[in-house]
This record gives sequence, structure tokens and C-alpha cells, in this order.
Amino acid sequence: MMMNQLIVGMPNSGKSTFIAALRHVFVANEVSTELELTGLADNEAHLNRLEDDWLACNRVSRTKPTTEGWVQFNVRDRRSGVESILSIPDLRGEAFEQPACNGQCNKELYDALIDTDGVLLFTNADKEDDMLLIADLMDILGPPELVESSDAQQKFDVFKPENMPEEVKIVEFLQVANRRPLSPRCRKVAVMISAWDVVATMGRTPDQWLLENRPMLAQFLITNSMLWNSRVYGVSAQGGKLPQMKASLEKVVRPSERIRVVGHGAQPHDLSAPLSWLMSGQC
Amino acid sequence: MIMDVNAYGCSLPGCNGPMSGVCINGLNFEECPDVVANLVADDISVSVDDSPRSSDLVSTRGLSSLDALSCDSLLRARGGIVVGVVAGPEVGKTTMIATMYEMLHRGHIPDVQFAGSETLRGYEERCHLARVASNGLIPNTPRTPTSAKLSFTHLRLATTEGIKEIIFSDRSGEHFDNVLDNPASIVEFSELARADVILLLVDIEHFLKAPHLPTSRLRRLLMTMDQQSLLTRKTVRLVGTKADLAKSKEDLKAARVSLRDLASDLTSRTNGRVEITPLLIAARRRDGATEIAEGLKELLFEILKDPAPFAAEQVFAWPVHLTEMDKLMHVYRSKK
Repeated sequence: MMMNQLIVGMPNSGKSTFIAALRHVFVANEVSTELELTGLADNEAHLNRLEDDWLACNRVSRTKPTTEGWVQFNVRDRRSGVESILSIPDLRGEAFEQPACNGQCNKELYDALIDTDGVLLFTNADKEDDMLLIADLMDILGPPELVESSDAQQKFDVFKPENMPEEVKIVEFLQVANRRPLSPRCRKVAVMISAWDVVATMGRTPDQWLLENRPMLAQFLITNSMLWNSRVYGVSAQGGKLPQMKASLEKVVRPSERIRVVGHGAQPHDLSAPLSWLMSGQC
Repeated sequence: MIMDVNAYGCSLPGCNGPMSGVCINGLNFEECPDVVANLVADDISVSVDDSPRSSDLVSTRGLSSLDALSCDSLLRARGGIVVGVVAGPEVGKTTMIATMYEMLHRGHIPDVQFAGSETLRGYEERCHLARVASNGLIPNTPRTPTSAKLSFTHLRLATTEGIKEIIFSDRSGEHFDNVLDNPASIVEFSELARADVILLLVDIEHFLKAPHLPTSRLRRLLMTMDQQSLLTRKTVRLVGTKADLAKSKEDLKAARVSLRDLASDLTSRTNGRVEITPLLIAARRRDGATEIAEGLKELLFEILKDPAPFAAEQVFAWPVHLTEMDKLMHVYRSKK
């Protein structure tokens, strides 16, 4: 059975790191997972490079136009025994921004979005608040010391669509999947909060974190549950912040145990759990 | 706005897209996913080296704002509540709309949730100067230029009564100034003819300092709209903006009293046919206030409220010479 899953996320949201770690988990087979690898694909070059970076505890390189591509995993569900080919694009984050920024989308990506059975949607928890209001900042810091108010009104950066908040770009991308002339249909979406190691100490569940920190996306998914059957997971695919934690991560005997996954009964290191859910049954 | 056919092509081989006037898929060009813009380098956000060829791109129809045609198309497909905003220059139309969006997508309004928007980029453009990302020192709102045509922004909201679509009109305040000189030209303001809710905005700070001019302007605007039957069976609210600039509680109290008096005055000018109710809003946080965006929640609930059912007067008369069908219906109607 061929399953098309789509990995979606803006630049630096953790997509490639996830793919690199997932590849290692599958090949190493050293932690409990819901899916297992049944064999290598015909072309493994891109995956090899990603996994090499991940194993060396280096930041996984940003995807470039020359390294964009589709990766393939031949997998089997351990419980049901169902075998599938997961076809996942590893694309630059910029590709996902385009619908919000200029109302266009790469045709290959657009077709993949239409055809997809499930979406792995990444958002990075270790990121500055890009929706912060000046008024909120003034509440904390007090009003700015101004020479003349007219000066203050004139000092600002012009609007650039690529600098829009991440949530806005994600919501617009998801809206494209059901916008006319396409017929709306239900899909599954697993929201992956990457860099969960940063959040883990705050005692929040992934659902709580999403509602508090990505309220627009959280509301969109709740209010469009007929179109988006969603789950939220916290994921630390790297295991810690790089380069600060490089030395301690290198000491982990079984690299798969660097990984942390939280939510919906997933085993602690099982990156395949969200994929397994996306693959299971109807929306 | 009419599509500039020269600005668009088609990614399908053999189809020239809007330029040819015929879509080989038989779709409306507004809807066809294969229509692509003939890109100009400046329009592309990614760096030139990385930019894909235009033939690799599909239009996703996400818009900054809706023009009248797109708005009409959306309303026909989904229905919705149209809010006509009437205000002179720099009264705070855009700030009000942008703050409503900010409140909703942050989940600050109880019982109403954000469910989507066809004009996300448009809202973001309007909110930009109030965000830290703009590197501004004080919150601001971009001014709608005089040259800007009528546009609309859209919000899809989940309420306790189900999904509702709201469409806000946005046009330059100078257009309303021009109407004062040529009252009949208000019939060209299509948003007011279609509106379910009309908001008359007045800058409360200016109003308190010098009430005569804004009062006179609003009276004339109201008379103009009433003469063209643009207010009939609509919810009309008089919205005092910029209450956040009130320096003291006394100022705020004075603003409320003045606004109420003005609303009564305007209501009386329609001979009571249109009930105009006042509302004070503060799009920004007022000094000493515990609540952000005061009045906006009430305004939103008013917009979302189902209008009172209209009891149409049934006028009926039988023709002089009854047909067989008329005779049958005559018996039926007599029984009723």
C-alpha cells in the first residue's frame, strides 16, 4: 500500500531533523516503535547525509534547492502487520510560505497536499514570539522615551510578507487544501511541537502548549475538526539544544534514546507513533 | 477588481489562460488552480536564485483583500454578514478591523473562535505597525490611501450558534468626504447597499474637542444614506473610536454622554425608522483599564446577532378575470 504523508513546516521548524532521527530509529531498531523498516529504498543518498549529521550531533543542514527531494520509507505496522511505503517530501520551509506570502504554491507541493492522506505539521517551540504587540511590550517595559512622538510614528520597517507570523503561514497553507475549486475532505494532521526539550520543564501538555502559544492554529484545528482530525505531539528529535548540549548528547550510548516523544500514548523514543496514527484507518 | 489578463498565464500546456479568454478545463479563471501569475522578480519573496519558474507555480487564491467581485462570489458560496464601515479619514476604521482580528485569533473573545480567513495577508498588513516585528516604538496602523479602491476583509468564526462568515468593508475616508459634496454618488457605495450592519464611526477625541463639525458631517452622511434607502432593515451603530485616548474617567464619562446624545439626534433624523445605538470602543489599551480593546467584544456580538425577522406586509389582489388556476387558489386562500 502506498501512503502519501506530507511534512509541513516553515523554515527552521525541525522537519529535516525529524527525518534524520526517524531514519536512524528505523535502521537501528534499538527502541520500541509502532512501525518498523522492511527494507531500504532505491535511493538513500539524501537520508544518509541527514542521518550522518544527526549521529554526529551536528545541526542538520537546512534543506537547499539542490538537496530538496522525496524520501521513501518501506515500513510495516508491528501490530497489524500492514506494510506501506511512506513517501515524504523534504522541502525547504520557504516552499510552504508561498501561499500566504504571494498566493502561489509549487505545483508538485500543491499536488502532494491534495493527494496526501496525512500531514505532519512542525512548529518550533524554541522560537521568539513573532506576534508580540508593541502595546504588550509597553506594558512590560513602560512607554518608550521619545524625543518627539512624530519621530516615533515614522520609525518602522515596512511590511514584508515573508516576515508574517508562522501561524498565519501554516493556517493559510492548510486552507489551500480545501479551497475552491477543490472539494473539501477530511485529513489527519499530527502537529509536532519540535524542541520539546525546551518546553518539557514547564509542565505543559502538547495540547496546552499549542493553545497557549499557537492560539490561531489551535483554534483553526478545533473549529475545522470536520476537515482536520488533529493530534498534538511534543518531539525532541535531536535530544537537546545544539551546540550547547553536543558533548552530553554524544555520550548517549544508544543514539535513539536521545529522542523524546510526548503525547497520545507514544513510547518515549518512538518517532514513528505519529506516522502510525496518520496511517491508521479513515479520517 | 477585474483580473488583469496580461498578468496571468496557465501552467497547462496548450492553454494560454486568462489571456486567451478560454480555460481548457472549463473553469472560471478566478477558480482554476492552473492559473499562474506571470511573475515579476519583485513579487517573489524568496531570493532570485531559489525562485521556481512561473510554470511550476499554482495560484492558491489567498488574497490580501477581496474586491467586490470576489466578495460577491464568496457570499454566494457561503453566505455571510457584511459590515459596512462609514467614516471619514483617520477615524480608526482600519485599527478597529485589525484589532478585531488580533483579538479573535489570539482567542481573547469568549464563545467565538477563529475558524479561518480568506484575507489573512490583508489582516497581517493592517496589523503590522502594531507589532514588535515592525520595529516601531508605538503602535500604529497604516492609513488607507485615497487611491485605494473599495476592498473587503473576511473572517470565518465559530460561534455557539455555528460557523459565521463576517466581511468588513474598507475604503478610504476621503471617499466619504467626497460624498458630502455629491450625496447622490453614495449609491455607488455597493458595500452599503449589501450591508447587514452599518457602523458609523466618529473619532471621540476630536468630537469632544470640537463637536460641531463631526456632528454636522454625520448628520449629512446619515441623511444621504437614508434618502437612498441604504439604512432600511439594517442594524446601525454609532461607534465612538479612540476611547483609549481618554485621559481620565471624567473624559470617558463625557464621551459616553456625548455619544449617546449624538445617537439620539441621528435616530430622530430618521423619524425613528432606524434605531441608532451608541458604543464606545478602545482599539488600544486605555490607561488604567483592565480590559483590552474595550467595546470590541460587544460590537462583535452585535454584528453576529441574528437580525430580527422582518414582518413583510402582504398585499394581495385578485385579477379582474380569474383563470382556472386563480379560481382554485381562491378556494385555497379562502380556507386559509
